[in-house]
Amino acid sequence: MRSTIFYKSSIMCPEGDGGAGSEKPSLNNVSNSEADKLAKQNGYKDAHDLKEAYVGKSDMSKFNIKVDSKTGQIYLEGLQNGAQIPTGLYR
Amino acid sequence: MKKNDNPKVMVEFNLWGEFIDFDEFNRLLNVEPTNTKKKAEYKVPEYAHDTWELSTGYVETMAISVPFEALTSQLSREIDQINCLKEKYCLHSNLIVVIKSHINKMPECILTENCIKFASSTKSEIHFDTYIFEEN
Repeated sequence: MRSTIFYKSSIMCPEGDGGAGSEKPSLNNVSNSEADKLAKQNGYKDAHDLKEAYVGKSDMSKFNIKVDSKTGQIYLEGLQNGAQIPTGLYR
Repeated sequence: MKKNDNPKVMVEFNLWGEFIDFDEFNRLLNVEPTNTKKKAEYKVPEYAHDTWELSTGYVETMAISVPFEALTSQLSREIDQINCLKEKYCLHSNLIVVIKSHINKMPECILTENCIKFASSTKSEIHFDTYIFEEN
């Protein structure tokens, strides 16, 4: 189900430590089919819809959907800047 | 997406900034947005903006220019008003082309003269958000 709770993010950049006590995620690529499936499982129309909900129209095409291999959490990862945005959603 | 399915293409025109008075937009633009969103509705505050959106929705087509031209022709008479609103509210704009396609059946990707003219006259970036499927 789509969460209606406002989500406070902690964006992690490759150079940063990602916040006190946080462990750097080990992000794996997912296929476009898998990304669509994960989005639908979490209440979104598709991967495009999920990205829009998190980073909006200005930046959505700059991010890919990835999954943390340790926790299964879904992340958005910046193609150029490497920013990692945890979504609080899981596979 | 199966390998014989036709590509699905959606084109969106987005205006965004720190604050948009959507009521004023409705009064001044002769186009109904397909979506409007306030900053607070986004999940990541660092990326949030008030956003006004006009979208074609997904269209089955072998050419991205088909929905692109449909969108720009809807907005072509609003260019002056769009630019006034952009200046008044310090807004940015982009056109997002979303392509969902099987790897063996990609659409023709041509930005026609009309599309480029519209993007240029509204100072809009053109973004591509592509989803290419490889499975059978």
